[in-house]
Amino acid sequence: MSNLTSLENQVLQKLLQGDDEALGVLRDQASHAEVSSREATGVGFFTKFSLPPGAPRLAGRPTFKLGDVNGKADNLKRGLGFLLYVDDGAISTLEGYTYDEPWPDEVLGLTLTYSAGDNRDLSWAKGLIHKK
Amino acid sequence: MYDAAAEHASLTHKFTGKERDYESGLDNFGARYNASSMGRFMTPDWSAKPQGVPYAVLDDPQSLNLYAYVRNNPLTRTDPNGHCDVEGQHHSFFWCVAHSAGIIQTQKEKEAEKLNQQKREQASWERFHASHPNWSYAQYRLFVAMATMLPGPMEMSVAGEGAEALGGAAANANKLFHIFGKTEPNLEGLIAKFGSQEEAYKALLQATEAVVKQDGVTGVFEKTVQVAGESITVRGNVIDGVVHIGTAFK
Repeated sequence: MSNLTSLENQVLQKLLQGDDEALGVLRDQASHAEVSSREATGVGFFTKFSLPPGAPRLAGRPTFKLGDVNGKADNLKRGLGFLLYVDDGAISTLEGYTYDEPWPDEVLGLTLTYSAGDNRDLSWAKGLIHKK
Repeated sequence: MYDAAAEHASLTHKFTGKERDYESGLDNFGARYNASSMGRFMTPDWSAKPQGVPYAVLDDPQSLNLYAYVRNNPLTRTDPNGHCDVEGQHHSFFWCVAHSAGIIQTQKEKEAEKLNQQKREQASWERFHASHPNWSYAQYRLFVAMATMLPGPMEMSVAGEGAEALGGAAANANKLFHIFGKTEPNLEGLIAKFGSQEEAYKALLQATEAVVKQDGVTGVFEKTVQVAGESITVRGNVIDGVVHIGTAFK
């Protein structure tokens, strides 16, 4: 994806990391998707993606939200969170949000971690993706 | 027949029927001693409710005098236990104790409190309006109401407490828009049930706080809460016991 911001790129990479076939499909989608809209809400953002026609989708076309990545920043004392909306088997929206703080003009010193710690709880992610 | 007790009472119970200390000449009003010779109390009035000047009425400068007896108007007011201004009406000791503890108020005091509140609000609005002439009073009230309702930071750095509240309200308006103003979180049903984003948020926060307390949550969390029969997933952060909601979705 060429028109992602640095922050969006870092977050997407972190969210889609892991040795899992479905995560591999989502990474492939991300590499071909384009940002169709980007909206700042004052306390976060919503970035929508559009996929080229014929892009591969997850088997069973599941809908879920992936959000086990948390952020810390030098200029956000309460940190920040992210949520990737996967609709009908394809990435659709990346949401970023603060915890009762205004979203800064620039997020300084961003570090990303998984909710489980340094390493992702891959079984949790797989369970979410493959939930029937 | 000589009645020693009656004579003692007539000698010791003086000004408004209160007992007079023989040595000091002061009248015992329970909470305070009054020097009838000076027409004032010997110690300042106190209140169970923290406030700048207890029982102050901004319209009446005499109420700001902590040493005055019934605002220096003994012809129309009495003070049965030393700090109970009852506007000429007789009340029992217990009423006066409850009154001085701030548990009950006279109608006049309620009205005075309401008036004081209105004056504070007016002063706050005037301070804000002086630096923000483009804002209408209706806009100001709306945002101040939201600032009171929602937790959040003071985003704008402008002069005056009203302006600070407005800054917080602006941040909270952004928050409401972030959570409820987009289609992705799928929370339109919740807004419809509560009639507004503000009320829906209030209910969501209340439900989240209950779950956080029940489960002893600290730090970043994701919890599913029940609000008006709907299961809502809330993502937030508990810092120093305060719940900060980041986002929510159905």
